[in-house]
Amino acid sequence: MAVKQFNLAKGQRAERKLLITVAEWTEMSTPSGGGDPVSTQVREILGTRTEDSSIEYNSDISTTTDILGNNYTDLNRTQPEQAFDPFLILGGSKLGALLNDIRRRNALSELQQFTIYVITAFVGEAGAYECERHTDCTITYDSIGGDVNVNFPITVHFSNKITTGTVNKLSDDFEFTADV
Amino acid sequence: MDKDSVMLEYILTCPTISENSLFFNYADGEDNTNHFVTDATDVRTHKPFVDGSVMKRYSFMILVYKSLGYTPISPDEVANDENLDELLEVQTIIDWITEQGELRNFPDFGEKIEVEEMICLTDKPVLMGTFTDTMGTPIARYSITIQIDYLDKTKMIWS
Repeated sequence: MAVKQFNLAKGQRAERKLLITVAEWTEMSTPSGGGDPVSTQVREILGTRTEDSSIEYNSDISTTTDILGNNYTDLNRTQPEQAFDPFLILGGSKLGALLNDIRRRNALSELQQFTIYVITAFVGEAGAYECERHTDCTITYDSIGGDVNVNFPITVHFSNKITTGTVNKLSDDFEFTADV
Repeated sequence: MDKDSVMLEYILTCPTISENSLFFNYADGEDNTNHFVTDATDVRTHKPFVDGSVMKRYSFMILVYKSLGYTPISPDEVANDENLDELLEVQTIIDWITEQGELRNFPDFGEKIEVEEMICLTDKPVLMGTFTDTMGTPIARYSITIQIDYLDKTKMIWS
């Protein structure tokens, strides 16, 4: 498969907002009229009020050098993580409310339920932006507190269970299409 | 609507201001007039976030003109001093802005603008000097600077 080029003019820098991380999880709710609980997929873009956040790949590297001085480097694994600090407690944040509820109950296993989409909107075009879907990811809360506002910084731990594909739009109701 | 127009409409709901005349960017300083003075912030102070939203600041100044008395303060009449009364009246504008900020009753700058905070930069009006108007009345010029921090979502690509 040919490598898609950036959808940027020559020399144009990609704005940070074009690298988008979205969390997805399943919410169970009981219909207002009663009956069996129904599941709903909920999504939220990460990075509201965060000034700087990067995916750190935490590469595990071993390098050997032969007697001629040549280096041989093995990349054994990556353990990607992305921290969001600050992650403020904000009205309307469904993810913040969910994580705070998990924190209250210390229900740590529920932190492992997330699907994370990394959308690279600088590759592709309207209707088909390149995206990676990581399933079974973990989001941890790192602390809670702060000075003026309540900060609840989080870290996304990517599973590396990756499906590449595209998303059809840049909003919570996007559809993900896996590459064939 | 532009922010200055929205703010003018908003500030006119302040009882102390609506009881008197309000002028935009020019006033000749008559007694009991208010003067809305626009301000600008350096774009380099804008704070961008990774989702494309940007924290920005809107600020402006209200100048309030009040006539002055020239009566010495006497121990029995402190509470009735004309100049003190006028200052306390100007203070009610700061109190109103502060109260609206605490109640989060903010001006509506549109769907993609979220006002975060509205404050007065001083807790009392600043006396910016005195002068004599064309009728020979001594006038005090008080200033109140108001600062609004807002999240501008107009450049976000995520909807």
